[in-house]
Parts: sequence; structure tokens; C-alpha cells
Amino acid sequence: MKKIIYVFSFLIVGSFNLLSQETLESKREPGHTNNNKFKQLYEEFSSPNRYRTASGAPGSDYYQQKVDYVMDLELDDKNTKLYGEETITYTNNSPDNLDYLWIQLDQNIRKKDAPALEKNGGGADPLIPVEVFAAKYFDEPFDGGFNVNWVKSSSGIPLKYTINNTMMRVDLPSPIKSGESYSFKIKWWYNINNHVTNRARSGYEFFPKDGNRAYVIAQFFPRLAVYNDVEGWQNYQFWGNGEFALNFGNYEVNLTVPADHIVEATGDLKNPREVLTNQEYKRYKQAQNSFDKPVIIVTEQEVIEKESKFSEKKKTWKYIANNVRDFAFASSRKFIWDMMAVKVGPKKVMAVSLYPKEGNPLWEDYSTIAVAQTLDTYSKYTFNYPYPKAVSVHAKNQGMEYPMICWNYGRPDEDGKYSDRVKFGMISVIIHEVGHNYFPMIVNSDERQWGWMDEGLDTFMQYLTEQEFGQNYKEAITPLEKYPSRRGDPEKIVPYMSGFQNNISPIMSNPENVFQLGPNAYAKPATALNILRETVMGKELFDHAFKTYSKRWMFKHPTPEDFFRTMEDASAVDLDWFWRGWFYSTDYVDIGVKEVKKYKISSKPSPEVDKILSAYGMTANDLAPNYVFMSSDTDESNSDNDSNNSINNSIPLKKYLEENPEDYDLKKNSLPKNFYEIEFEKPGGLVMPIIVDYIFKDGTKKRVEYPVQVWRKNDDSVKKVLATDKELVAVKVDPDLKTADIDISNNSWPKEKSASDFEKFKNKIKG
Amino acid sequence: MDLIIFFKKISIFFALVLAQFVNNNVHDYYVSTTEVNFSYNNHLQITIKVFIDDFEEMIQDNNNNLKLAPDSDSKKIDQITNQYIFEKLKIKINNSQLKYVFIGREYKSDILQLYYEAFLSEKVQVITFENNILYDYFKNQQNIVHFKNDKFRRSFLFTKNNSKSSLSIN
Repeated sequence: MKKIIYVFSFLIVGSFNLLSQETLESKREPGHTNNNKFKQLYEEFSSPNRYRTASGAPGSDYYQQKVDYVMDLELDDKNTKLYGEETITYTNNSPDNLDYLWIQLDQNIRKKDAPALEKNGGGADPLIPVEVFAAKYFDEPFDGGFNVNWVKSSSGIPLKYTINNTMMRVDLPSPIKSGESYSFKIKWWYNINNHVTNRARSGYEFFPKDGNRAYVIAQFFPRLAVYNDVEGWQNYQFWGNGEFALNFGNYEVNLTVPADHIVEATGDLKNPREVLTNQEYKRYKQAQNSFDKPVIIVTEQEVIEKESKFSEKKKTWKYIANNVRDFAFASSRKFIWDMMAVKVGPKKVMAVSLYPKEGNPLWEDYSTIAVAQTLDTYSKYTFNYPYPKAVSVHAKNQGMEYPMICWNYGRPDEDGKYSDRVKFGMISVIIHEVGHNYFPMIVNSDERQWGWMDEGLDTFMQYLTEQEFGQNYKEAITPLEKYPSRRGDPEKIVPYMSGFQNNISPIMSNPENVFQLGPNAYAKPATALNILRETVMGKELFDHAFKTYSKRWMFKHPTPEDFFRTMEDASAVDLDWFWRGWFYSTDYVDIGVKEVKKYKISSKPSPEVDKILSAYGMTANDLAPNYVFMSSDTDESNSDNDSNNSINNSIPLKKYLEENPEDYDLKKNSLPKNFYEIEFEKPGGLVMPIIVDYIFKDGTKKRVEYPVQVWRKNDDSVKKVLATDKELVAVKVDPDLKTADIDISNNSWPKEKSASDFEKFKNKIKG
Repeated sequence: MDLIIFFKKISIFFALVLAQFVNNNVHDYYVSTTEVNFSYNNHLQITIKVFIDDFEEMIQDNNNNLKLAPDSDSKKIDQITNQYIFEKLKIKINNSQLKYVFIGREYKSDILQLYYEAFLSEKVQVITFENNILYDYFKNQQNIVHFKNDKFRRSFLFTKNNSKSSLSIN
């Protein structure tokens, strides 16, 4: 008997499907490949191997090269030149023997004939400032780029080298065998550019009032390219957007500058006694134990006195930095210097700021505390900050990161006034750039290939840090209640994701080739991670997986797959659909509610059921007496009026419940009176969980989250049944705007017109 | 590298010149969005969204002492704003130039939103947009117009060389 019933129900379900396909095609449809949104990413991901495992962790054969530098540098302030001689020790941990080494000459992007100067198209300028016009059409182009004096082996024998634009190949007398080290030397110099007029990451700012310069110097020495299991030599040229792929190593740097300069750099200062005045040194020592507020080591007054005296003497600042991927420094007699100690886990870290007086009063108020907050929040979500210090240097228009040191914008007007835009811009950029110590300085991804791996993760962490900054320094954000983060909130990415498709690139694109790098590599991945954390995975699972990724790849070189795989591996949440949609495509979220139908338990079959039965030559009487009939409110035949307990409408159901009294205690359990069929539609390409509020007549509401998997078999629409003893009056999809839904006009039933900004504004001014 | 939009104002000038090794202004992206909602009662609502620092460029070109967000002189800014917008955003209904009026403006994060409206006396058959906002400042400026009425929506992407488009409404 049971078997027959089963067959009947199968027939009925099958017949519904038949009925819904009314037009029969005469031509056979062609086949297709798997284009399901939930298809696993086997084709996009490279095969896991012994270097990088399927779990997303470094494999048993994982290796990375080590490159140590000993450098003597001299800054010629008068002639704006930088001279250097460096000894490089290259340790080949790869299984391969290397015939040559590739070295990055980033400064060559500023050579007069650099191809990067012509990389963009563009027509005539409609309006052009006179100084720019002059620079463009009359001035000699800036004579930048490296002048390489020589490349020699450690014993002084010249080595053959070939320069291809921003890359230099050094041919070795004999291959560096796997496991061996090789030392060689390079001597070089270059003209330092003005980074303000030249829009560069490195250079000087000139202050015409006092004739001084403030230097922020980076990408300034020939640096080894990365050789690894993924790229071989990463010698993709430097075109300007894709930043750096760099090796970890130890640095010993002696930096000679005018005697009255104050310097900050990557690494520990080894000779503070020699380079600081007695009073500066005393304050410097005092700062090491000042945990509550910054100690000013060089004051504004002292700087003002120094500004007019250009010392002819020199001093050499000595730094040692271990396990860093780069080295950068800032130097000027204009620098005010403050620092405070911050407890990070069991260790003490110095939070440091360096700024010309033009940065005040903003900088002395906010820079160092923003550094401290960054160390605190990032350490909580990733790993304890492993370096001895983090420095924020004020440089006009800059926002650029290096190990332990970064350059940041945010300058008050000349009268010392500043707007909230300037203040929050400054705090945000400091958090962002100091945060880069984690991504990519320590979790050392390849920026030349993947901009988002550091920018996206960092912008995501920046959002969490800004929000904590707002909670911890309430007076800094008054009268606002929360920190005004520009990026991170899902609704903020809507204008970008709903934009014209030919102006959008998938996140998984090389930074040289994307449209709108800001939203592409910063805002969208940051928002995607935020949505992953708050909506898809939940904070606990996300935070554990994110921390696992950070710790696994701390001081190593991860690829995008290592990140994607680890997030799944550590959480047991299948996210291939998420990476595919958010990272590999330009699809967007648009989910809505299409229709709501009410059903009741009925004594009679609905006309629809009747129709199917009659197609098989049957009537309702031929069915076994154990079916519950449901009919829609709109069915004319639905004349049952007992709405208080619709169970009474179905004799089979009533009987069934009475026969199983232990299982179905009719008095105890509330029995649904109303059955609603809700149809959700999905005009957007991205699949997402459906977050929905069901709102009832009695004023209560029920939040339901349907898993993203509801879209597995139908990418356009899905129906769900809500059984309740209450009366449903409204349905709202994504009520808290957590999914970056680009069109919310279809998010409610009954259709609700949400007030536009225009209407809200007009009401406000009327009010 | 950092927070790109902050830099657009500065970057525009220098991006034109030597600027490689650039950090922030990597891809100058200049865009405004204008939403034109034609709703009940022949009410035409116009919302223009433009980056504050882009628009400030134009304002300061007219009066070097003015500053936006917070405003140094709201009245003067309103005046320059309207003079500029009325000249650069032309809307034609059927065959006559539409006169729309200024409602006000507000800041949302780094965006300036301008509000205008008009009440139409005739039935709209053809609506023509000509959007020249900020082409005189940024050669890569793009202007998007979203038109919406009760029945449908249409979007237009305008550039310097393609700044005009018409739509027939039946």
C-alpha cells in the first residue's frame, strides 16, 4: 500500500512540472557544461602540491628565499641626491640552482624615457594649471632613475649585469646551488624627486618658507626580486600600480644625514646616544616607559629654532632590522618627534610619530594614538605585532606603507584649522598604513600580481579598527556616535557594484589592468570580507579562520588560493560560491520578494489537484485516505470557513494526530492556521543567503535566514512556506542592509516605496 | 598604497604630467550621478551626486576663498553651484527647455548631493538630457544619469564627446 501512495505522490509532483512547461520545443536543446553558481573552483585554482597544500597551509616542501642587506647610505640634502653601497647575501632555499638573479630597480620608473610614462592614453587637457603646463611642455623632464656605478662579487670581481627597464639581471660566475648562499655588492646613486609635484611614493617635500626639505625615502635601493614556486622569478615590470613582491631578510643600515636632521627608519636604532642631544636622549629613554601618553622628544619650538640653521656637519644613524621585507626612512631637520609605549601581548612596542610643524595641531593630538589603536586591534584579530616599533610620518598627500614605518597625509590649513574630513582622513590613513605592517609586510603577499590581497584585507581590518577607535576615543569623534568609516559597510559598495559593467573589473585582476583601483582592490574585497564575517560565516567562524590564515602565512608568501582555502579549511563553510561570485566576477546582489500566497488546509482538493487527477482518470475518492489537501486563499472552491482550527478541515489529518497522541499533543503544540507561500526572486547574479523578516498583524516579527544553498537548483527564484498561527502582513528581505543588495525597491511585500534621498531632504527642510 | 579618492583633487593636475611612480591617484576616476525621478503629479525630482573634492575644484576656480564641508560661505557656494549646474545640466521636455529650481544640498561622507525639482505642465513625450558637468575640469569625467518613472528606468553614461541623449516615452 505504501508503495502505491508513493507512486501517486510522485505522479502528482511530476505532473505539476509537466503542466508548468506549456510550450513544447520542436528542436532539442543543446547540452551545456557545469555553470552552476556552486560549482567548486577546481578550474580556477591551481592544483595543491607539496609547496602549498589543499588546506591552504604551507606544504612540507614550502620554501622561501632569504636576502640580507648591509648598506651604507648618504643623503646629500643640498643637491638632493642619495648615494648607496650595499652588500647583498642571497640564500637559495629553493630546490633549484640559479644561474642569475633578478634585481628590482624601481627608481627607473622615473627615467626620462621610462615606458611607464606613456602607459596611459588621454587627450588634450581642458584646463591646466600654469606650473603643470610649464612642466609638461617647457621644462626638461626630471632626470631620475638609478645610476649603477658597479656590481661586484664579494671579492671585488665585476659581475655582468643587464638592465631591462625596472629589472636588472645579474649573471653569476657559477650557479647558486640549492641551499647555498652568495654575496655580492652594488654601488649606486640617484637624484631624489619632489614627491609632491611628482606624485610619488618616495621623495622630498620642499617648504619654501624656510627652505627646508622633508624626505620620505623608499624603493630607493636595488632589491632582490622574489623567486618562488608560483611565479619563478617575479620580474613583472614596475608600471606604477602593482606594488611590490619582496623577500624577508635582515638589514644593517648606516645612514648618514646632515647632523641636525631627525631620522626614523625600519628597524632598531642602535646608536641613539651618538645621534641625539643629551636632552633628546633623556626624553627618548623616558618614552620607552610611557604607556599612558606620548613623550615629545623633539618639540615644535626646538624645530623652529633649527629650521634656519643648515648644519654642515653629518651624523650616521645605525639601524638593525630582522625579518623584514624592505627598508625605508624619513629624514629632516623639520621633524617633531613623539612616541609612547604600547603593550601588545607580552611585549612592548613603541608607537611613534614624526611630523613637520605644518602637521600641527592635528598630528600631536591624533597620530600616535591612532598607531596604538591599530596595533591593538590588528593584533587581536591576527597575531601579536612582532616588530619593536610602528612609525607614522606626516608627508603631504602621502599614504604609503613600509615595514615599521609609513607616510601619511592630513594637514591643517595654515591658520591651524581643519575640517572633520581632514581629521578623519588622517586618522583613517594612519590606521590603514600602519595596518599594512600585517598585510603585506608580515603576511607577505605578492602585490605586483594581486593588489587586493593586502589592500582588501587591510581595508577590512581598517574598518574594524576605526570602529574600535571610535569606541575608545569618544572625544575624538564627538558629536558622532560611531567612527565615519568610508569603506566597509555593505551599502557603501552599492554605487560601485551597480555601476556600468564596462567600468568594473573582477577583484581577481592584476592592479595594472583594472578600472577604478580604489573600489576594486580596497573597498569591494573589504566589504566582501565584512559581509562574509557578519552575514555568511558569522563572527566566530570567520575570526578563527582569518586568524588561522594570518598565523599560517605570517613571515611567508601566500597566494589568493592559500587565503580562500584556509578560510574554508578552518571553518567547514563551503565558500567556493562566494569567491567565485565576489572575487572572480563582477556580479552583484539583487534579491527580492516576488509574491506571497496564502494557503489553508482544505476538505477538498484544489482545482489544480483535481485537474491532475483527472488527467489520470481519477478523482479524489480514488486516493488513499491519507492526504492533506491545501488550497490557496484565492481558490473559489475554498469554502471552508473554520479558520480557528483549520485542522478540522482535514479528516485524515485530524485522525492522524489523534492516533498519535504522544507525538502530537494537540493542546500543547501551537498549530499553524496559516500557510504562506513566499516566492523570492533574484535578478542579481550573486547568490546570497536570504535574510528575511516576516512581520505579523500583532506587531511581532520573525527573522529567518535561508541558507545560500536554496539557489542551487534554481538561480532565478525560490519559494518557501511559512506555517504560522499568526497573520502575515509584510515581508522584508535584507532588512538591515547587510548584503549590498543593489536594488531594494523589490525587497518588500506589500511593495513599499522607500523614501529617496530627495524626499527625505525635502521633508527635512519643510519640517 | 592607500586611499585613492582622497587624492583625486590633487592628483588630477599632476596625473596629467609626469606622474608615474604614482601611488594614490593611480586611476583617475571622475564620476557624477544624476537621478531624475519622474513621479506622480508631474513632479520631476533631480538628485545630483558628485565627489566633494571634485566639485570644490570648480567652486574654488570661481572663488579661491571658498571651501566645502564645512562650508566657508553657504550663500556664495549656493550661488556658484546653481549658476554652474543650470548651465551644465540641460533637460528638455518635448521641445522646450526645462526650468528646474534648487531645493538644497547636503553632504554624505565624501559626496555632495544637490537637489532640484520641477513641475511639468505638459505630457512628457520626449525627454532630452545634456550633461556637461565637470568636463571643463576633468578630461576623464563621466556623468551617469538614471531616469526613472513609474513604469521603467533607463541609464545613460555621458562623456565629454557624448554628452547628450534623448528618450521617448509613450
